[in-house]
Amino acid sequence: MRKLLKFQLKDLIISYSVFAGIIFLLTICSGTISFIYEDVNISLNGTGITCAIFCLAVGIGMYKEHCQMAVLNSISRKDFFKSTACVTVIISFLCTLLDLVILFISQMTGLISADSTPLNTFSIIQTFYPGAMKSHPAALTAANFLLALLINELLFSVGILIAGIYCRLPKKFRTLYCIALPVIGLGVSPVFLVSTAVTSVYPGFISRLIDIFLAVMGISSNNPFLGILTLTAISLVMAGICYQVLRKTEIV
Amino acid sequence: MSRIEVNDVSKAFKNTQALSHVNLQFEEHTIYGLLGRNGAGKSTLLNIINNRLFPDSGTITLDGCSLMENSTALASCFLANENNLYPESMTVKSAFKWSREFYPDFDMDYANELSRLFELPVKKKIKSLSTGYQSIFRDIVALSVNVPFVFLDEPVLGLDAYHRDLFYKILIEKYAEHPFTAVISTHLIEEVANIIEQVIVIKKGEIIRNESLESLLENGYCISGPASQIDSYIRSHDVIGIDTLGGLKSAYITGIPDPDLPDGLEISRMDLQKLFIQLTDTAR
Repeated sequence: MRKLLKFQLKDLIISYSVFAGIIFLLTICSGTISFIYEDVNISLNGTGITCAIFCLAVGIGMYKEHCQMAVLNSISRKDFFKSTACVTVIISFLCTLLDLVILFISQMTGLISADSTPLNTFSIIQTFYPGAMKSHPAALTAANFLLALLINELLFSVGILIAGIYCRLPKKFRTLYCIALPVIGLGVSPVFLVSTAVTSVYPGFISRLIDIFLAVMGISSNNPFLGILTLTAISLVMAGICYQVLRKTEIV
Repeated sequence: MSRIEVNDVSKAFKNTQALSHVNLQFEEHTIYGLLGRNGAGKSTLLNIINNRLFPDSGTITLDGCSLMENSTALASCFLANENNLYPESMTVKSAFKWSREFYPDFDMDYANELSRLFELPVKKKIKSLSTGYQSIFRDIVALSVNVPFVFLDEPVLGLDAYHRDLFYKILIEKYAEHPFTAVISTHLIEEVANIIEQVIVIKKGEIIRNESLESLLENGYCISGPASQIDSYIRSHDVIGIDTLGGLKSAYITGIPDPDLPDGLEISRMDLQKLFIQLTDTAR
């Protein structure tokens, strides 16, 4: 497993370096422009959801090649899963760290108001749990970091699951899957859920769904630890589903 | 002595029964020829042994330990087949480097030496290599990993006559110096007939022959002569096939030739390819 972990990390560190390089470059460019032209007002708030999207994309991209490389070199799917789990945690951690570093750089270069600290400028805690842990900056930092890490990790799992299902599907359904997934996931489902047809047949359905989401994420009770707990549970469930998909994947 | 045992393995793809209750043993230090027509189940069998496909039923063990999802046992096996499972951007050199990481006994010097002999461009990406050079690349990795069981699925696919000859020579040299078990699945039967020790013939997912090349060829002969004479001769014999050319006939018969052969008939040794054709003739 250690050999595969080395291979996976080496491969993904290259991707991560390119990603981090681009983010740094953009930050430096924004800072420079902002510094040179006083009338140009550019503000940055860390990497935002870029890291989460990066994790999702890497999850989708890495799965097939790495799984094939593992099976080719006589490594079991179980060991591949263990190695992948380690890799996703490491890369998610690095992405979260990058977000933090960019926030500091943004503040140093004046892209964030000097009055605000990096962590309260744009943080998950401030956005979704306003006022929580205000008097404990260290705990706030840790909780914010953990939430971001779990979101990245979750997106990584989603990416792996998407690729895993693709690999399990018969070839004739793969194109359909590739088209249907974004169309249904990002287009049809949201429109359907808020459509008058649904809201008139099931009055209060959407608001009830949102209420449940806000409750389990601890947003309605302003409790970030509940959110951390829920995200951890979802991540574990996702990992379990990923393993179930992976364990019977045939590689030829 | 290490041994791979395939016990009652079956595998179906939708309505096609690829393998049906296959029972086999692969002993240490032997070169096997896995022969079968297209779609007979050769590749499926090799893929199942190497944990790439899962059997519907049955087990595969190495010295009693299951090979399914067992990295430790699987480390004793290597399958080189026509599917390129290496990452898209990986170069030959990089693949050698990673093979050494995954297989500690991988002989890098030997791999480089073989690359030089076959004129394999090591700096090129694997996917950009021609079919022949992709086969050469896989063969080089297979010969350099130094594991007890090497499975070669169509190892000379796309290779020219020179490279095929070179590959067989190197395989024999390697086998003589460091004996290992090689299972060669190929359609070029005449070419491997001089290399293989044990023959496994698979037909429609079933093993129909599994014996040493010597005994397989000794237990049969070819008799040729005028059609009428052959017809009367074969009445009392177990015939596995007949070729007719004008008024002449050749019959492939199992068993030992009669000492007092009728005049006009000629006996010749059965060759592996002819035997294979007769054995796998679906019309029979």
